Amino acid sequence: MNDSYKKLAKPYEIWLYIFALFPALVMFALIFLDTEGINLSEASLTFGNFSQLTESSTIIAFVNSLKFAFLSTLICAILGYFVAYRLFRSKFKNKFLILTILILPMWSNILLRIEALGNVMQPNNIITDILSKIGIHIGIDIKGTSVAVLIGLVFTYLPFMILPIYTALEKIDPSLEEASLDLGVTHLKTFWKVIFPLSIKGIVTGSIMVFLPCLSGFAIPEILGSGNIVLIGNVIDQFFRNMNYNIGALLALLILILILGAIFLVQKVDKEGETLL
Amino acid sequence: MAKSKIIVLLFTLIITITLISGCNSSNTLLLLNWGEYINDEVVEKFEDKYNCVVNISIADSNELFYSKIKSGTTVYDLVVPSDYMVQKMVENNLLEKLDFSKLPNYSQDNLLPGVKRISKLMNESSRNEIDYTQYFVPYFWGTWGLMYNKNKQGLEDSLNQYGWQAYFDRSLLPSGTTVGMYNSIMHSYAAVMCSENLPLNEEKDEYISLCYDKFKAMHFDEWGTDTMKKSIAAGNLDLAFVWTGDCLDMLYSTLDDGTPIDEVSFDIYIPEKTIAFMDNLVMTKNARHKDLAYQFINFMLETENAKENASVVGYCTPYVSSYNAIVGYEGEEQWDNDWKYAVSKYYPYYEDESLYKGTPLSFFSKKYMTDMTNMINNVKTS
Repeated sequence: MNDSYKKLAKPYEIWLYIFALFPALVMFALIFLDTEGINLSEASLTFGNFSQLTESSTIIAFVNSLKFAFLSTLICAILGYFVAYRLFRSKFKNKFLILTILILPMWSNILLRIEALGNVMQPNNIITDILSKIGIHIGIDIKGTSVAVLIGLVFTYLPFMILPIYTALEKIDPSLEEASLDLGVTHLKTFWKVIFPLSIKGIVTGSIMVFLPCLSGFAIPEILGSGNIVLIGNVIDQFFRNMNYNIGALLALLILILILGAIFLVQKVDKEGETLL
Repeated sequence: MAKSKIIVLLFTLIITITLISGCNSSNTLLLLNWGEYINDEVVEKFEDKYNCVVNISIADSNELFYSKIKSGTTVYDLVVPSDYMVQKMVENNLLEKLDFSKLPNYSQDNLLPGVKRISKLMNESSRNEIDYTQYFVPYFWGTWGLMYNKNKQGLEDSLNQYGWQAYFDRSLLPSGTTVGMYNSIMHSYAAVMCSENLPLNEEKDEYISLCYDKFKAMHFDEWGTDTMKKSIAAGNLDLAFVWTGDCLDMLYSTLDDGTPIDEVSFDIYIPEKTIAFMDNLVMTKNARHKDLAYQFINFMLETENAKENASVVGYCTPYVSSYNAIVGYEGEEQWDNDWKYAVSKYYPYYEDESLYKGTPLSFFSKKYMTDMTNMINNVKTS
């Protein structure tokens, strides 16, 4: 490669140093300190922050995060695969248009969408209002439950699952499938033996893209859980909000380590490094 | 030739931009405020009059105000912290002592008795004998109360009969009442202290375990913030501990939609013992545009401007003249009459300071805040 191309990445490299690496180092320093906010002038060295890790609410919040992230990834993977496969098989002229429609909801602000979703999960909302005018009285009341949070997470992150799976499916050489069918393998078996194994990397990429934001997010559980469901992101939010940057940084770094661990794991499993592309 | 022309052009452009932005910055007031807490029309009027730009940033907690001022990454000129945060900022030497000779519109006599009372309480709770009133000009003030759904059968009666006790005891509430608590550590803690008639500003471990028991027994349906007022108005929530201004804000918008005042579906019960707060305009020590800041404070103190400002915010104006202008309205305008009704009902005027309800919060140590955070999370996760 020509050396002069290296310079193209320089701006972003500098950006990363300033806005990712440096803050991460500050956070690392903060976990061993007792400071007032982010002000280091009256800081004192301490290991007291680590006792937060044994606090039962922290552990439960952490388990909750893993649980919700795992479940929503699983649901997204199943639903997403169905949609991607349907699209892959369909004979639409303009598949790009369909994909655009799928990501259309992402064009509006996520908080707005979640607030709106939370609104229709309550017994009195704009839809029940209209329905009651024509004599139909139905309404659900699930806001504040785990189901509501799960629906919100799947609703938000499903497109991140569909796109990579669809791309992986499209990349499969059609002659492989033809060969399989020519040699007398049934359609179903062809799917399990040929198509599915070749699309797994799409599922893995999609899973990372769904799992990670679900693990660290706090807005969706806060709104749809009516403040009663606590994930690790909410605990971090609370500590930063109340100016305890030390414990906040500690818990945030813990998540960072988990995320790096997940990426490392994927790299180990997938030696060619195609998954993350 | 063409190249040098472009370079010259670029240079001119850069210099012009620097000059323009330089001029602007000397005439820009940086205000750090709460969301939806100022009337933009009044700000525009100020900008026109003094030919300047008011740049408003938003933060949603007193603690955020503090860390933004302390870190100093952006040097704000004016901030609007509440009582206890003013105390903390003064104690940490972050605020400028105000020169009241530059504020001709300010007068001690023009402050409502309730406002003077909060100032006094602030000075009384001082550990360092500081006169905090030298540092701030009151901006808005108000109380906290129990906002409730009037359509819930029996709820109004049990609140009137049991007050705080009903809020923390489901057996005193009509069956099926949904109850919300404000999702702020200090305010939910203060709710328990008020209901038990305990001091709001003492740090004791037994108070934290008392809160744990109360919250756990109550099992709140929602830990929300300003969305709860909308839930109550929509009938999705029956009772919640909120800012009185939240209720009024909702009332104003309901009235704006054309609902007659006696058909409004919610009201607020203000208990004998509750939280009171006062948000204040303060100037930071490092403020770069002090003269403009003084002009701004002085402008906001004008009776008409303060009144106009209060018309979009659900809280009470601290100035007697503006208060009288609101409650003394004698016209036919529906909106002004409704406003008059709401202000005189929820922010009544007493000559005697001691008749005013509410105690301001005070600042807690970092350890106590951490313990409270963990306590609340333990309630939610168990």
